Amino acid sequence: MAESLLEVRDLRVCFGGGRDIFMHKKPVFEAVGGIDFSIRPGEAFALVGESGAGKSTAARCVVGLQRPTSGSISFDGAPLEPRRAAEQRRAIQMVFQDPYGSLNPRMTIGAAIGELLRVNHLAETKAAARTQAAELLALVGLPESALDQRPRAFSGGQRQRIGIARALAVEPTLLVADEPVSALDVSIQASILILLKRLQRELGLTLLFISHDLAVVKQLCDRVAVMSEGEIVEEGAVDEVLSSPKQEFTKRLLDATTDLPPLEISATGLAQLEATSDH
Amino acid sequence: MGATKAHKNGSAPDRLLSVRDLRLSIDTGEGSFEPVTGASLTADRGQVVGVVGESGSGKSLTLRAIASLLPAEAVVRSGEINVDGIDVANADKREVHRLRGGVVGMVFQEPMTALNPTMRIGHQIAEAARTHRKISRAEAQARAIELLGQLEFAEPERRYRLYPHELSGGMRQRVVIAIALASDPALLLCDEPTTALDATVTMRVLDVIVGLAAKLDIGIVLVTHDLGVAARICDRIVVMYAGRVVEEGPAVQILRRPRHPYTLALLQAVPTRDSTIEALRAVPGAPPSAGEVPPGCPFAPRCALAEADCAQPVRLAEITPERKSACRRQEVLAGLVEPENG
Amino acid sequence: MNSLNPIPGGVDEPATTAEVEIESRTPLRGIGAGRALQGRVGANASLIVGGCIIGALLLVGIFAGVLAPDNPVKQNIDNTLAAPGSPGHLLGTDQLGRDTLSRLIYGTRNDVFIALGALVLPLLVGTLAGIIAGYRGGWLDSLLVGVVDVIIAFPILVLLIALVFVLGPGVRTIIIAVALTDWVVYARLARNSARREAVMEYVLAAQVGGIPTWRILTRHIVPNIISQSIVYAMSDAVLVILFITTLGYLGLGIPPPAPDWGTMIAEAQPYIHSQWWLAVIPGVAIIITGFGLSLIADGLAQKLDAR
Repeated sequence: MAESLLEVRDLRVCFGGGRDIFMHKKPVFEAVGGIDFSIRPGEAFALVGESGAGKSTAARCVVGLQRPTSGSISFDGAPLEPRRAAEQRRAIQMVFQDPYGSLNPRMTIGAAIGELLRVNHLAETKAAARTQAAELLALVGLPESALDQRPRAFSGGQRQRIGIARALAVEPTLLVADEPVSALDVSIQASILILLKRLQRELGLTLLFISHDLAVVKQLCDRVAVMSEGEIVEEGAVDEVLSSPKQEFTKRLLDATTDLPPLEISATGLAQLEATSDH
Repeated sequence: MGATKAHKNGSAPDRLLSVRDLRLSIDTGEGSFEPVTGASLTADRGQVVGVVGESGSGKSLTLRAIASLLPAEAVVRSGEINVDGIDVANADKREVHRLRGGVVGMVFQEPMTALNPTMRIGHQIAEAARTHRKISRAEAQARAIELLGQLEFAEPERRYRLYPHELSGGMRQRVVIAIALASDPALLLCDEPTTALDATVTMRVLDVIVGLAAKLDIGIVLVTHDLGVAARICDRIVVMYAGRVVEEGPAVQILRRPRHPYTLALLQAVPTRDSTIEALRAVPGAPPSAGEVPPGCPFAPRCALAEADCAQPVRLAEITPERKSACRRQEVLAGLVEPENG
Repeated sequence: MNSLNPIPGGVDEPATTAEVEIESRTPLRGIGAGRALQGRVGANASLIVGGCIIGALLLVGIFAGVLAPDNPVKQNIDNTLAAPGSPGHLLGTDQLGRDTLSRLIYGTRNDVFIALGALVLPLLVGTLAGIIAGYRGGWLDSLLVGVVDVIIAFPILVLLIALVFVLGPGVRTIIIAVALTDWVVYARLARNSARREAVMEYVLAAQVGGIPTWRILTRHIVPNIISQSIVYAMSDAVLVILFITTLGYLGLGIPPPAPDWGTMIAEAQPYIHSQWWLAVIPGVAIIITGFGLSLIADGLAQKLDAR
């Protein structure tokens, strides 16, 4: 077993370029300018940066939605191309950011997940597909009845759960989560983060987590790479980077992270509250 | 309600804004619903008041009601809005004009759509200054340069001549704030002013905003869904849920010793720089959408402390001279407080 | 081996979370007849009323043989230009003694049926071309856009009339002419919609999940865009009817003595000062048809907006 599950070497992604109809050179925009990072099996690795930093572009290269301009990605020792064999493709799946755009509005949940299962030969009959889909939903805390509903029946948080269930349908080893909680209400974000942590543990998933929020990253991830303008400026264990950032940009990002004064409520008091709650 | 602060050397009174039991209703083609059923808040000179809430809390509409900028389908059903002596809910055209002209300035979320892309930014600020006051072009230009300086632009005379697309997002938002301040308002209303900005830029803009409150002696009401933003710059926090204010008080007290289960739940659910996932607590369920608010306390279905009587309406009541809470059980929360040592 | 299309829809921009453009879904409006009912009664009313009108017209066409009191081409020189209400002729007779009502009823077949039928090819072919080009992007998309722009730039009626001259008047010509020129609008509509959907996250999710392209197109893209095309088709049908009746009026339509509302109007022209009903009655029929289609389009458009 390779020491790292995913290895990215000198990844570059440029957009534009070429010539227009008048033979003028079109401007080139370098979204990702040569980055290296690797993710160990079972690890939760974060790519953190502001908008336009290139982290989503890099994530899409890993998942096969974006062709790199140059550089290499290898997965479990083998090279990873945008057009890839079914096995590699199944092993890397993605959870998207927008709960209102990431589900086909005209398909029931059962149909969407069932389609994935059948296309990937993980279920041969409709009945088998339905059973598996129900199990996936149970994994994320949703009832079987959700299979017959369309996305509009669900809230943002529920849709993200469905998105996670869908990503897990083909039994990936590496889960890429692109800002999965950024579009959710604050009180719902926590439940998705807790879910992801639990799933990662229970299923032994490796996680590539994209975010602009260091606080969110702190909850979930072991290592973090900070990106700015297409490059990685700092990398290391989450606790280390957060407690002693070395680069100026990292310090600014840290300073901008949500910082609340500690709750002056006793731990026993909080525990009591939880005990009285029916939920 | 706390006693109004004494006038400072006989100048304008300190209490700039007083909203009491505001109730708004919206009439869609298929019936009406009430997105705000009980909003009360105050703001004084030199104060930054943060209105915090999630989607469906009614915070944005409340802000718009204060500026008399409600969409056509929305009406004030009951309650009072008093801005520096003007009764906004019942204001006539002249008073509304005066309100928007020099009493209230408003900043919205998206700086790019608030600015005219074909006009130099300094010119836009100067125009705003001349809209409600008869001043000469030269005076307006001077005012614009003055404002750019107050908004912490280096070399304001040079920046005056720039176009919006030549500025970064944070700078654009500062220009928008300058425009809002051009007519010298007493009250600045901001609706999620930093939500569309990157985190590092947000900090910069927030620091500028908080500086303005003191420098210009104005009141600022800031609507946000981000507790971190509120924690950073607000003197007072107003927490809204499902159309009503559930808690109100000094920021530090609310953040450290919340007296409403929703506030507590929110504080426990927000990832922070120092928290760990083990301490994170998800809030079960979801905020109700505008048409589906349960009778009685809107948070009851998700509340750890809820009892049978929570199905009865709860009023926002004073619990200390500085704080209010709309919870029958807030005493329980008071009893759990354990002050930090050091 | 299932392969991904790594850069769908020809999007040549960095796909950061904050920067993926999602064009706003502009709701498609019917010609606007439905607006009259909209304010008070809404989409359902538009659909029902429009549906009844067109349904009634279709029934009239189907059962023309039973409903028409007379043979539409039977001439009767003894009873020409009779007024409406004359015995045996509810709507009178024309200059050759043919029963107006019967001609109107049989005319439904020529005008309504053919119009709806002529739309099928452009709708199918145009939409298909547009979807494929919009989804794949690249040179295919540029090619389609170029072709569409060129054809649209032509003055359509001139083109159509030229075709009719070349191919000779008749039903077949009409269908070919409409098919050749009308497909472009559907292609452009479908292409824009497909481009927009192709970058939506649920499509990306399908790609990552290994769904083959043909299946993404048929099960994911088409269902989400076809309704716009159908709504447009309803409005387009009005234009096709106008085209057919215009041809008839110009004498280039379905050859006489076949009953056609446009031809009826043309033939009634000399009599407009005395037997004005000969021109007005078919005109009213055209208006009613257009109105019905427009209502359906508006009702559908409103229903779709509430997605």
